[in-house]
Amino acid sequence: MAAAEVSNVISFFKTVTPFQFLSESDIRAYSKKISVTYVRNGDSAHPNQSLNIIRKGALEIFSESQKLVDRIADGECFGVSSLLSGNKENFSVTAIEDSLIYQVSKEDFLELVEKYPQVKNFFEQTRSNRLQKLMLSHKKNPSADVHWNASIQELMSRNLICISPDSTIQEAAKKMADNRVGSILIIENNELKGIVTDRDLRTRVVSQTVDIQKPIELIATKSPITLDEQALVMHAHLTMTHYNVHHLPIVNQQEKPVGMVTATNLLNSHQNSPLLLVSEIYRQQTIADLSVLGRKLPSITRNLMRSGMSSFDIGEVLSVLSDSFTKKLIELAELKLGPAPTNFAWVCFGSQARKDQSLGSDQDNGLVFEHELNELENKYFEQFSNFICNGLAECGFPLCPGSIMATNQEYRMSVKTWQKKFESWIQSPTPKSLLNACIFFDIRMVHGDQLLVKPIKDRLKQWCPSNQIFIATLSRNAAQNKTPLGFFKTFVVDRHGDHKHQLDLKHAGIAIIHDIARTYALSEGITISSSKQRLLQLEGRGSLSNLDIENLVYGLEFLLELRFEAQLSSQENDKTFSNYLNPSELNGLRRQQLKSVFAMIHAAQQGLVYKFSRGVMV
Amino acid sequence: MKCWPFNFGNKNTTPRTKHWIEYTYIALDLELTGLDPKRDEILSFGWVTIEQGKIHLQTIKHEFVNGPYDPSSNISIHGITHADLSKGRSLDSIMNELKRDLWNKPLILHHAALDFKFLMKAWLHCFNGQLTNPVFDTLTFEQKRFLRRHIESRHDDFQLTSCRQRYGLPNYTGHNAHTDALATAELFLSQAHAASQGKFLSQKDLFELS
Repeated sequence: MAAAEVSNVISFFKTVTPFQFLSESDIRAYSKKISVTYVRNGDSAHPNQSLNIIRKGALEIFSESQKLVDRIADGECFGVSSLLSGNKENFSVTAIEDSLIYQVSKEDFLELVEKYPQVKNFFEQTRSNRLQKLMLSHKKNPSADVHWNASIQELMSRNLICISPDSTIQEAAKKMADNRVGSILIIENNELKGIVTDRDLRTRVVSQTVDIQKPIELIATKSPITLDEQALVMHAHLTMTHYNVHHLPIVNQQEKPVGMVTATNLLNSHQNSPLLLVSEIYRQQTIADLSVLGRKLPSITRNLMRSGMSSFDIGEVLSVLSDSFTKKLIELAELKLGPAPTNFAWVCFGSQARKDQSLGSDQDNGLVFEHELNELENKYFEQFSNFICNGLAECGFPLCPGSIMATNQEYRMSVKTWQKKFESWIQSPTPKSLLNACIFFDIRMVHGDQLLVKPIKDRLKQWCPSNQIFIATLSRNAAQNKTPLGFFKTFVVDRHGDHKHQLDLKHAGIAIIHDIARTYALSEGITISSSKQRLLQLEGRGSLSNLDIENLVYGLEFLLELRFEAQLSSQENDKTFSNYLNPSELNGLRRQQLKSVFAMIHAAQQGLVYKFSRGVMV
Repeated sequence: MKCWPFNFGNKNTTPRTKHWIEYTYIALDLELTGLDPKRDEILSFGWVTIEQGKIHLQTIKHEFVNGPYDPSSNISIHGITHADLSKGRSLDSIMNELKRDLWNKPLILHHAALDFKFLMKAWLHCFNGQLTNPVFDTLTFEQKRFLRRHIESRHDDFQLTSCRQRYGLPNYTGHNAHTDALATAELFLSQAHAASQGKFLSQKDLFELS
């Protein structure tokens, strides 16, 4: 009797490259012929002269010299090299997570590649990729529409339009017009001597009526700003913004010109660039127009993620954008209500202050003044705050449900009153009051007079390290949230409710790292707000080992990345930004990483409690 | 003379049996009309062979029993139709094939307390004898594992899907006898690997854990 078909196996094969190339009947036929094996975490897998496909799990491939060549997970293959070349497999494979593996026998595999050349090509490529990785340990180029991390060489034009220094201005202008370019390079003996742009022709020739028969040298910019050919697109962007130039010659190691990048090139490749959005924000004149831009934030975040940008940098970009929205709204408020009657500083707290905003984070902000406000001034700033906070809400930064906003009179105070408020938290801390107040210890100025915020930070620097009870209370609070790892090293997920089978990335991970970083930082009098910066500044101070610091920074980056992914996928589904993640939707590698991150956070919590509250856990 | 520890001659240092992985097993699942072996019947059989730690999909079988059924029996419960059953085979011929496949092989079941009773009944009916193969119950193994570690459990922690999740096995959609037999076989492999921890573990000792 013939073997039965297993629909789960067939549907899996249809999702695996290169098996999609197979005809329906072949997929069915080959899925009947496989064997299923299981490799425990830490054991080595034996390819056994067969093609191995990971159904679920994760493995590492090592070279003969025990160098890590590749990490592979669900849907990826190994054991191909020996089948195709006939050589003995030189790689060894070890499971880093319990893995279920499908094996296709050598005979079936050879029959398959015979019938489907695409399949053969795919596996040959896999093989050469792995060999290449072995030689280069080169990071894969992320396939993306936005090439932040792409080499500038992908974008630059190699067709150099150039001319010798003794040619006339007219010759140069004609050559530019003929080639329809906005700039021309002055080159002598293959050396870059200068650059002339459209703008130079307008400002230095036409408007000053210089004789166009004179040598081009006269009006050229000598030794122009250049960029090395090894640079990334991102660098080109930054260089142009920084120096306010629109034409950037690209040179090789020997400083010889090899290409040219223009602002237009960059713009065309970055329809959704955050830098463009910043300048757009400042151009808008109404809240309605600003809110249209606010709606672009998810798609910008998505592009940044695809480009392989780190989650810290994405958080940084999002804070620059929310700062820009705030500053623009302050400008609009002053236009509407008249200039502010007294000096002020607009400050933000919490995630915006830490620069790790995620999508849909609510706003937390306040105002600091030189002196107590009189009734008239208070009236002004009430309207002012309402305008800004509501405006931010329109732009996609929801109002704070706990009303930690400048609209609340409690958070519009003079420097002195703010200092008193912090003093009361620090000098007589209760676990409960600090649970709500710790958000204020992440404080950053967005707009206004920096001198108003400095005295507050100076006091924190002075008071926090010397107050052991305050630090002990913070550390116990930081230990209260539990990481979601169960006894069997499995994830503890919600069993009921809206988030069944999901993990709360925010409270079970991200927030704990923030708490840990904040506690250590304040105990050392570090008043910067970003958790990454806090941790990095702790290096060499002895309270946390460099390895712990590295682990916490890595863990935070990883969790933030997962959260962005979770948010973008939940936004696609139901327009909300969820902090929840279903761990069974992660591939084996990610699950493995997530488990070790949670375990690391748990250990760091214990270390914190041990250090600051003599091991007393609440 | 050394009196203690008592020396009972040569202590047998050779293992009782071979390593569990060297055996051939059959993982089996049944779809039933109900939970009472006296009254209810087997609707379909699914089974698959595990050999040298590998599950060979070429050996996977899925057989419907073509009756006769008590007209009152509930066949729709598993999404099985009368058309499926009418294309099936007689209980006798299926049992004969199963008997051939099962010869000398330990049997793997999830929730043996139920399926094994139905199997015994059919065995008695067809061969007038007892089914004596050793049985490993993947559910009992899990229950004992929780008990050994003093972990509280809930009933649904022992469903096939929940057990598989704890071992990182994929979620299978659609439940029928042969998919569940495969799912049980995979669970068995992961349990056996977890129990032996890369060391020697005989089939007998492994089966005593369930």
